[in-house]
Amino acid sequence: MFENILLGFSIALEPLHLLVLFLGVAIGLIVGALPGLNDSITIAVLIPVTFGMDPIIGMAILVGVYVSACYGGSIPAILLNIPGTASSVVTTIDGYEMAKKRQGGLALGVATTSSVFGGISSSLVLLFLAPFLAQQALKFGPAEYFSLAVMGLSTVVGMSTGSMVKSLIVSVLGLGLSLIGLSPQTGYPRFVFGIDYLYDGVPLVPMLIGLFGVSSILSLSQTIEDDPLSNVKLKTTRFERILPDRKMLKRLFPAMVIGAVIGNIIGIIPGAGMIMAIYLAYDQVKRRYPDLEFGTGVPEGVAAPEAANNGVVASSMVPLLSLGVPGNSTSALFLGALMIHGMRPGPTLFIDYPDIAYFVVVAFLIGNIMMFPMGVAMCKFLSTSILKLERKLLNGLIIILCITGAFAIRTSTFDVLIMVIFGALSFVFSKLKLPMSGIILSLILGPMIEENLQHSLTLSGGSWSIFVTKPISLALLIIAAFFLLSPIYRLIKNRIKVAKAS
Amino acid sequence: MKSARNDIILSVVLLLVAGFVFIQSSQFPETAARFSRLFAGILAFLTLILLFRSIITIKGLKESGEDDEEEKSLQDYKNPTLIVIGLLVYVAILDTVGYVISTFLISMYVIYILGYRDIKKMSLTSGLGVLVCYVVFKVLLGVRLPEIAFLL
Repeated sequence: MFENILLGFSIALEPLHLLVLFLGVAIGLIVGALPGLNDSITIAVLIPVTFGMDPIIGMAILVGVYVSACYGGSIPAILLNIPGTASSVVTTIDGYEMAKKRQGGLALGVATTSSVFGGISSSLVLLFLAPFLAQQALKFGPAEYFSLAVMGLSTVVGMSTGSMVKSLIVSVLGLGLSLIGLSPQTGYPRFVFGIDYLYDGVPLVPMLIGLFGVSSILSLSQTIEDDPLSNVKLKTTRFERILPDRKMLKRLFPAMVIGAVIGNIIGIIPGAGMIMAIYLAYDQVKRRYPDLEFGTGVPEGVAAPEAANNGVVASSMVPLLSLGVPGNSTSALFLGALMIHGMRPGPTLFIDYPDIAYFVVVAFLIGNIMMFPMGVAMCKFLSTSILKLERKLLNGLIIILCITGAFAIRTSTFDVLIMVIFGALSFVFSKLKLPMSGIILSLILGPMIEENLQHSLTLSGGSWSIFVTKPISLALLIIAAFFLLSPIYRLIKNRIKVAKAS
Repeated sequence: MKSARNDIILSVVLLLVAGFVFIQSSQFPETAARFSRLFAGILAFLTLILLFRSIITIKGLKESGEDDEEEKSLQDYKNPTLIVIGLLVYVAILDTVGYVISTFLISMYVIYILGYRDIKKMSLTSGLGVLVCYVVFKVLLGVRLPEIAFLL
C-alpha cells in the first residue's frame, strides 16, 4: 500500500498536475464564494469538459473544486450573512457577528485555518482507510454487496431530516429509474420505449447536470427578485490581519478537533452529508463551552462548523472509492466522472487503476494544503471583488456549459433533453419537499442491488436465507435496519417528550 | 393544507406509475420482471401510506381550522416554466439551427428571464461563453457539435 501511496504522490507532484489542481482549487474558492453556486453544480458541468482529457488531469480539476468550494462558502457567510454554500449556514451565526464587531478578517482567518485543518484530517482518513476498506471488500460476494447497497440506501433514508415516507419513495423511484435499459441478467430491454439511447439506461452525467445545474437556474429564476445579494452594497475591503495568532490557535484547537472528528465520521456514512455535520459540530462545541455566549461572535462558533464541513469532503470519498457506494451526492458525481473514463469505483479500482485511485487520494491532501495560502490571499485581496460578480450573467454561462456538457458525452441531442427533464423534475421535487440526494444514490445502487440479488438467489437456489447466514451480510443488514428504524425511534421519543411536557 | 393537497396529487401520479410498471413487467421474462414487480409493489405500498397520511392531515387541518401555509400563485412559477419551455424549444431546433446560434440565443433568453436587461453585456457574455465552449469542445476535445442544417 505504501508503495502505491508514493506512486500517488509522484504523480500528484508533477508540475502539470499541480497546476491543474491549483486551478481546480481556485475555481472551487470562487464558486463557493458565489451564493447560488456550489461544488455539485460546478463538478456536474465540468465532468464533460474532463471527458477528452487525461483522466488524471480531469480528476485533478474536480478534486480541487470539491476540496475548496465549501470553504469558499464561508466568505459571504462571514462578510454578508449570506451562506455561499449550504454547508456554511452555521458559520453565519458567529462569523457575521464577528464581522459586525470589525473582526471580519479574524473570522475569515479562523474559517481558513479550521477548514484546512478539517480538510487535511479527512484527507488522511481517506488516504489510509479507503485502500484498507477496499482490500477487505475484495472478500465480498454477491450477498455482501447486496446488503452493502441496501445499507447505503437505508442510511440516506435514516439520515434524512424530512418525511421518512417521502425519503423512502424517492429512493424507490431511483431504483425504478435504474430499471430503464437492458436487464443485467437477461439483456431484455425494459422501459426503453423504442429509444436506442435508453438501452444503456438513463445517461448518468446528463441526468446529474440537469439535477444540479439546470435545477439551480430554475430555482434562481423563481427567487431572483428576492435575492439578498442584490440589496447589498459591497465596499472593496482589504483586511490587514487574517490569520489567528498562536494564542488564538491554541484556544480554538479543541473546537477544530471536535468539528474535524464529527465531519470525518459523518462523511464516511453514506447519505449523512455536510449539513448534519455542521449542526452537530456547532451543538457539540456549544456544550463543551457553556460559558461562551454563542451567536454573539464567538470564534469557536466559526471554527467547529468549518472544520466539520471540510472534514466531510475527503471522507465522503471513502465509501465511493473503496466500496463503490457514494458518500453523498457530490461524491456520486465523481462516480460519473470515473465512469466516463471507463473506470468503476469500488475495491478493484485500487488494483486495476492504482495510479488514478492513489492520485485522487493524494490530491485531496495536496489540494487542502494548497487551499491554505490561496484562501488567505483570497480573503485578503479578492473576497469582496468576487462577491460583486453579476449572478444573472453567470447563469447564462452556466446554461451554456450545461447544454454543451450534456451533449458532448455521446454527441446526442437526446441527452440534452434528458438534462432538461431531470432539471425540471428536480425543481418540482424540491417544491414537493422530496429529497433529490436519495434518487441519485438509489439510481446508482439500483443495478448493484438487482445484479447481486439475482446472483445471490441463484447461488442459494432461490433461498433468501443467504443474506442472513453470511456474517458480513448479516452485519450490514443489521446496520441498515438500525438506520431505517432510527427515524421511527426519534419520532416515538419526541411524541413521549411532547406528551410528558403537556 | 397546500402541501398535503400536493401530496395527494403526487400519490395519484405515483400509483399510476406503479401500476404502469407492474403491467409492463408482465411482458418481460421472469428474471427481468422480478425486480420491476418488486419495485412496483414497494412504490404502491409507500404511496398508499403517503396518501392516507395526507388525507388525515387535511381532515385534521379542516377540523382545527388551522392553515398557516402561504399559497403560491401560478405567477411564482412563471420564470421556471418559461426557462423549461425555452430549453425544450432549444432541444427541438438544435440539430437544425446548429450549436452556435441556438446556444447563443438560449443563453440570452435565460439571462433575460432572470431579469437582466443590459443587451450589450448579455450579448458579450453569451457570445464569449459560446466561443469558449466551442473552442474547448469542438477544437480541443474534437466533439462534433451540430452545424446549421442547410450548411451541411
